[in-house]
Amino acid sequence: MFGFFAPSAEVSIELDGNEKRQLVEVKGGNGSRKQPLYFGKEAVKGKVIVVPSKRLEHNGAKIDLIGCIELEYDRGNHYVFTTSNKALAPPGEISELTEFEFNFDNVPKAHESYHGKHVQLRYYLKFELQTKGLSSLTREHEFVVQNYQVPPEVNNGIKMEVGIEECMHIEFEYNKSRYHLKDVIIGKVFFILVRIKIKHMELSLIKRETCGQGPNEFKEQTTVIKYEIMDGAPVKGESVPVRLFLGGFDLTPTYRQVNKKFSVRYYLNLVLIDELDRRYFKQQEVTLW
Amino acid sequence: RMAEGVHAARVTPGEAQARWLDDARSTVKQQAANMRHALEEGNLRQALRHCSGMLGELRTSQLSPQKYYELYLSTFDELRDLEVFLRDAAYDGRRKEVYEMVQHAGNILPRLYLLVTAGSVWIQSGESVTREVLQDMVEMCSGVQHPLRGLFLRSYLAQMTKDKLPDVGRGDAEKGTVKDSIEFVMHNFEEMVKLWVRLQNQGPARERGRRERERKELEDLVGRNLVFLSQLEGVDLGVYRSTVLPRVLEQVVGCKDELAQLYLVDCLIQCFPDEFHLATMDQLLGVIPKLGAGVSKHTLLSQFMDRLARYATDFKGSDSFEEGDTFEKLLAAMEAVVTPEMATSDATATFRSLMRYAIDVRGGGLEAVTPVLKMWASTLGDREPASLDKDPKAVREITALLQDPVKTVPARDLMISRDFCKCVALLDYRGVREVTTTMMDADLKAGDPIGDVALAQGIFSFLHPLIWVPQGEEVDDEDLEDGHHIVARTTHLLKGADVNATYEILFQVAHPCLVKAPPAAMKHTLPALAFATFSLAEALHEDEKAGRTPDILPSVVMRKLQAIVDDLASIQEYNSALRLYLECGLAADRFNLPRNCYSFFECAFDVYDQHITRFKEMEEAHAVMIGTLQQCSSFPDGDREVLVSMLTRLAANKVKRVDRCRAFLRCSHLHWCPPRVKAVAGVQECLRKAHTVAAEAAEQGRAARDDPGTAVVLYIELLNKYLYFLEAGANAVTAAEVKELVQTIKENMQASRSQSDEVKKYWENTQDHIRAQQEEEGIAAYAGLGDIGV
Repeated sequence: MFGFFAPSAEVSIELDGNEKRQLVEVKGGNGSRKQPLYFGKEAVKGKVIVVPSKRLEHNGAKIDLIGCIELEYDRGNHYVFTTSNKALAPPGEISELTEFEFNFDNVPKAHESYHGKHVQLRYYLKFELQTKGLSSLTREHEFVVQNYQVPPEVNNGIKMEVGIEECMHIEFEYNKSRYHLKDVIIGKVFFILVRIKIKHMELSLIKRETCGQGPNEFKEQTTVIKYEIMDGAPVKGESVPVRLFLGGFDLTPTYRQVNKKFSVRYYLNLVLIDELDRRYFKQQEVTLW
Repeated sequence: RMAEGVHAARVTPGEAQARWLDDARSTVKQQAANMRHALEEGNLRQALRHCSGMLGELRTSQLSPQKYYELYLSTFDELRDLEVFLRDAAYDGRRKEVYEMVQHAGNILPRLYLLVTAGSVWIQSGESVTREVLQDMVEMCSGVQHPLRGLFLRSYLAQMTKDKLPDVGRGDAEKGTVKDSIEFVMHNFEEMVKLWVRLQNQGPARERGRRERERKELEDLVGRNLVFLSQLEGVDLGVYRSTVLPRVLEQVVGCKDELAQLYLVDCLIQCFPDEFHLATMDQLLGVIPKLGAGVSKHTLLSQFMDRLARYATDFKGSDSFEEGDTFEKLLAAMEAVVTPEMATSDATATFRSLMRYAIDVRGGGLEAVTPVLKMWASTLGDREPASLDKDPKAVREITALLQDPVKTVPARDLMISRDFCKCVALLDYRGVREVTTTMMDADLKAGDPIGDVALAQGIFSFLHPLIWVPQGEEVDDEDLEDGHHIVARTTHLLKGADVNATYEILFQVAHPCLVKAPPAAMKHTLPALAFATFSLAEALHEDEKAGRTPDILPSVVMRKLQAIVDDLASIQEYNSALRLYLECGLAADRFNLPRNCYSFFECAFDVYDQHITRFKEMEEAHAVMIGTLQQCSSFPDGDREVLVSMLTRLAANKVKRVDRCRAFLRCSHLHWCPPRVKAVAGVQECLRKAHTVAAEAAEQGRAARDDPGTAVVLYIELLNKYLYFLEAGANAVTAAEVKELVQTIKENMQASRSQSDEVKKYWENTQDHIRAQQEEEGIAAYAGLGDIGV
């Protein structure tokens, strides 16, 4: 049936300044693809080109800019948090190549695109040409939104003492609590008491994605960076430097509550592994921006 | 499966090590090849990944330090390719980026090797602020706390940076100065010391020994930092004194590890120039007592002193070496280092170094070596003397130290030094003997006379062990005799500036000492003393002849001599005593003391009569007595006649014909002693008697169908005696008698079946002599002989 009513026109959406726009690689779904990048308040401007194969009657053409959150457990039930509509043409007829220009300025795009394990936050343009009958001719075009963030005003370092009584006592410090995505984590670990035989020490960055609420809450934890920072057993009084370049890893900013639907948080995890492969660790949340 | 199990059990740890190393190396090779491939393609990121993979092999804990070192060397070589690549101009301006890029490696060890490689290239490019990069690298390396891996990593850091460190006249002062270099190397050094020390405390206690061995193998890695420091031009004396030395010493004291302490101080001494040590010796010496109990502090002190001594020798006379109060400081250091618990051999070895210093630097005179001896004796004086059986090492060291100063101080000065003698007493009797012998040999070689009482006293008390063997000690006969000979030879050296002095030396020092000696010693020493006394007598005689009146009466000397020889006779050294009596007689004769002379002859005859019993000895004694009497001129005629007739009687009493014949021949001389005695009749009498005995001997030979050889010799000797008197002008024999004797000899020669060549030769020589004398013009005696048929 679908074949029988196969659309009789080719539709494509072209965004203005496409050739100059930065493309962002988006992972997720099946494989990765590149999408144009827009910043929060930027106008999304372009044109829709319709090339009919024969004369085409329609009930009007429109285009939507949609921002939605898709939760894996709730497939199909997309939550649209923003939508904006533009009518492009009144009902009529198209018989030759036709261009419809559009311009979404002043459409707020508060949230950033996000492609996580269980959560997708996507932005896309949806063009629709309502043809006679039930079917209509549609075309979607995804793009990515990122926002500039102002550097945090307060950015204290993290300093902490942890230990197991009579066994191990360490103190560690990181130079900041909020890190830019291309930032460098600089820190130091002091060994105040060491009675266990440590084999090595790692610093890892854990990403925790949370979505849903109540019984439907899903948590997904992944180690995005695993970085050995010490080899061998230190003695009392030693200190070991920490320096981790965040650039080059696949990171997103921290999202605390996105439309009450999901959050993405990051934790620095300091892990000591002893000779019997027991792990002693301390997690500390850091904010990425 | 069982077979496999058995096989596995057979793999020795060494084989397992070799296998692990091989595996690791092949991975290194493979990854290095991949890295090069990526580099050729210009894909740095990929190359770094492979390089990380290669360096990952160094994360192993399986290898012994030795094998780990081999693995390290392989990767070290491969890393050069990366280094060369990064140096390429293509990376100009991007080295900071590379330095950051390498830090993405997930494992710390490969990451830090890469960091150091990239960092060193960055410094060399001049694009970096050297100071900061150095500091960053040395701090980041703290991430490796594993001792072995950390040591090698830091060793790599030191190696890669050593030729890039800012120094005086090198590098941009804005970016880094020698001060930063020192800070960097010191920091790395301190961390390495910590790791190296920590290596000791890992693993089970029973493997302690093995770990110590392994640590020794690694010590150079640590020490190399000091070498690099010393190679910096900016490390001058001031910097060394104020920065380097205190920091190294702080490590040394703080690490509390004896192996490290010994090595590091030694390293410090070896690495830096001597003038530094000289200027900072207080600091260095001050730290030595603070080292652990097991550190052989004396070894360090010795090395230090040896260093200074060598240095001083090189710069002797130049301004570069100011001794100052160095010696006093060394003495003080010795006091602190040489403890009562220290083994004698070690303590002595340390004093040897001090002695070398005293000799090489302080000129080595007695006043230079005495403080060393004094301190040595006082430090070790209350210990049990070292014996060869119990502590051969100590004996060797002590003996060597006692002999060290002989090179610069005359043996004699040492012998009479109280401090030296105290030091000799650190040895047991055997050792003492040995040292005494050596010292005396040296002194005798010099052969200087012993000219005053004090000196003689000193030397005789030094000699004491050679004369007296303490109870319970055993010395083999040959050594004992050698010792006595040394005493005897020393006695010969006793000679004062004048006769009085000599007399005092001989009879206040030598004589009282020697007459108390055991007989075995007196046997050799008393004759020597007697001869020394003859020399004294000779000197007295010279004085007398020169008209000086000596303070010592010759008769007193004679009495002394008498006593000496009496003592010799009392220990049954009769032959020797007899000869000495005769010598004494001769001396007395020279002083014109015929009575003394006669009494000495009496003594000699007494000894002959009572104690000389062997034919051979009798023969010799008889000959000596006749010879001596011939030389004496002071006897009144009567006395002489008594002695002559006595000697002739002794000749007649000889049992063997040969002896008797020869004795008569000798006696013949007693009657011809011109100008005083010219008793031709006596001569004739003796010759006649000799002729008779010779004839008897020939007869006896024939009767026994024996060879008349002996008799022929006697005839020839008789003929020679004839010729002697002929030439002397004593008309004792006629030409006919000579001719007849020649005839007799000829007959006997022919009768003899086999005369020895010796006799034939003797006869021929005699005939030759006669012929020669006859042919010579103007010798009346022979001319008168006419043809005697020779």
